[in-house]
Amino acid sequence: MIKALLKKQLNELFSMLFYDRKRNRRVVGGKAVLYIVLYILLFVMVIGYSSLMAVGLGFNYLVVTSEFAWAYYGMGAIAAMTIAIIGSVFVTYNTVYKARDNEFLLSLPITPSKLLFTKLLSVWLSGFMWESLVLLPFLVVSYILAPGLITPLGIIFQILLWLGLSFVILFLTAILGWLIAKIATHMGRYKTLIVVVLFLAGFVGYMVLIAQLENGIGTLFEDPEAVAQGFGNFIPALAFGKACLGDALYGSIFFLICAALLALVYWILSVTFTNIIKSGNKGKAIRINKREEKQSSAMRALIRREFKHYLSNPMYILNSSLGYIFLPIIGVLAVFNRANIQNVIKVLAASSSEMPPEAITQLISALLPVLVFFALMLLCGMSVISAPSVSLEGKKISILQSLPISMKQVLWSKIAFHCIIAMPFTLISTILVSIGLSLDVPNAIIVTVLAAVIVFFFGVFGLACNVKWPMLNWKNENIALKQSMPILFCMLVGYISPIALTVLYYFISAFIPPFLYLIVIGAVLGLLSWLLLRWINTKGAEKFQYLS
Amino acid sequence: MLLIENLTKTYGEKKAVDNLSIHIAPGEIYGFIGHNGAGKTTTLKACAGILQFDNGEIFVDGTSMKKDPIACKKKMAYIPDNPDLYDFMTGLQYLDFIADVYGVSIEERKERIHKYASAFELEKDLPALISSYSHGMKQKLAIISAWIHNPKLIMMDEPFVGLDPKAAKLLKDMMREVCDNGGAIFFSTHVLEVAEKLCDKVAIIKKGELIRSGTMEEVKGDDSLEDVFLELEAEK
Repeated sequence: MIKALLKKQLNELFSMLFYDRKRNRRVVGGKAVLYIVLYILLFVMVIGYSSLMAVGLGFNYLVVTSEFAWAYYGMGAIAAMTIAIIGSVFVTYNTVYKARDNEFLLSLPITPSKLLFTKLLSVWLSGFMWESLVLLPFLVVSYILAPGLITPLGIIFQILLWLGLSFVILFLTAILGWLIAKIATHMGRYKTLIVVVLFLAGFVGYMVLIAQLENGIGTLFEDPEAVAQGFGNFIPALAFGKACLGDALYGSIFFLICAALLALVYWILSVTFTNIIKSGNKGKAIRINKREEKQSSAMRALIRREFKHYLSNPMYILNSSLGYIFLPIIGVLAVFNRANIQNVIKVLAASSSEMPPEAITQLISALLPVLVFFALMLLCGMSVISAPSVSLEGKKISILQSLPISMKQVLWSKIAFHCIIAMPFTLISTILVSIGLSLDVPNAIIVTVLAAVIVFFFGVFGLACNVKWPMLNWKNENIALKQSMPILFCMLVGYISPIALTVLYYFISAFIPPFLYLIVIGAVLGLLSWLLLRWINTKGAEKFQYLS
Repeated sequence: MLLIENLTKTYGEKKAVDNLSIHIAPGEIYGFIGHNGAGKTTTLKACAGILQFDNGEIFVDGTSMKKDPIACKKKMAYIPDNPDLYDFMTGLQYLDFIADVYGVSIEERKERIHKYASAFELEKDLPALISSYSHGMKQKLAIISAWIHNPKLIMMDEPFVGLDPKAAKLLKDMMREVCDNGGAIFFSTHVLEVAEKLCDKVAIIKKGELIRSGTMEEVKGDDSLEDVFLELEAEK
């Protein structure tokens, strides 16, 4: 029984890696390996910052001030825990509290405790993977830089606490997931908004923490003892750090507490699981005070439908548009730091002995639009609303297919919706950044036009990818959002294209000025968009008509 | 109203529908019966324009589904076997969406929504999210959405599943009303008593092939439809 449930949970968690939904069969061999490599690559890119931090801190603590090495491990534990909680809290929410199959599984001859056990195991695995991606680089760095500090007992406790920390993560994500589920159940129509706000608050908190850590890194190098002593006041970090260095007392106590937290969370949930599911599935009626008394065109109706779908799922908003929420913030920050940016440019210009300052200032000013363009590629590639839009139709796709509308129209409504959401945020941000960087008018215009081209390109590209690789047989919408090949592909293009374009520019910069380079790249993106659009209008629409 | 000519659909090696031909005239309620996996849903989906077929032709009121699917779809409505509707919309928003796509005027849609929703006792639930609906309520909503643009042809896959007796009776009356006004109904069912009482014509399909069709009298003679069906099913 447990084995069958576990298999089902793991299949759900890793279905994208090992199951080809298009051909309806398991993925084996090279393709599975490729998927796994792509996933790991993406995760490493996402948490690369933490790993880099590990290297920097490792160097400082383990080589320069080895007597405070425990603080290094303590910091690693905090970083791993923070990332893992952010990364897996919604997995908990969707797997334990909000899963569509909860009622069905409870109707089978399975005890709630067994069901809960398998669900928690998959949540634990998710947290453990996130934790490992951050904690392991910390540990590896310490082995490389300070092998003298490593003891056999230390290694044993590092392994034990690596496991133990994942229990703490499970405990905290279970509580947070429960809170989200409670709020979501009682807040009816404001559910999406509240979940988005909660997530953003958590994200902002994380960013503040990172910013403080950044400031702290400076202090670390100046006065590491003071920082380490500060860390010492936080007992869990101290205990974790000391245990990693082989302190049996701290190690044992820490691990016992972790195990106790695991037992506690399992006990609480096993007592309340059935009630949580029952209360969580009550549909709340939403009353509409005023009905729109206006007939719409089919296109408007389709776009409105996309909008309602988008607003109904917080994961859809967060997964596909987080970048757009932060873009205007970046713009405002650029405007407020305009003077500082100019000062930095002046300092850079004065620091070179090979070129006159005016020439460097001119060069930097010319290169800034190129940098803005690269940043836009990166951010817009991470936020493609159209990329999961076909998969999200799920089995309900037949509703659209049976209506008297062309599938081209349906696909266009998805691109239009992407642009309606993405365009204002991107354009406002680009204009603000242009002001902040004091770009001249021609450069500001070309960057703004390029921003529009990028938004359109990713809208078309994401949709084309999703028509090509749809995933319609999901049980939970979030699987289509989280494990969607098109989303990963867009993110990869967003990551890789700025690097490729930088390398390209490095080689041709002697022959082509930055302004012209941007025009050429913009034209290429425009051409690609047009070609993709042609495919969507013809073969894409034909394919969409008969997707099932 | 609906002409299916030599329809063939294969999935890999398996022929789901094999050279099927059916003609449904205006004013007819046409029942489509067969065992599970016989090819009923495949046929209905092909007629609804959501499934590509290998050979044959489908005409809706004289218009070819292959050549002009949108014109065909404007004249008809299709209700699938599972009323999987948009959970993120309210019932009213869903009906408005369908009405907008079909270009139904505000006056007409208001009148029809009121007429059918009150008949199905669904009016007070229309402002609620579809995700809170029971299976039967979703089925009622799917039926209202099919009737909202006054189609000439309505195709339904197992329409009575999940409906309470009162709603089932209402649906039968609505089907008859469509036919009385010159429309046609093509529906699949496993409830042979309903088919026997309701249908003007019936087609029996087995392993993708049409094994008997015609008026109810022609198909069943003096026996019950159930006896005839089981007899045909037992034949090799």
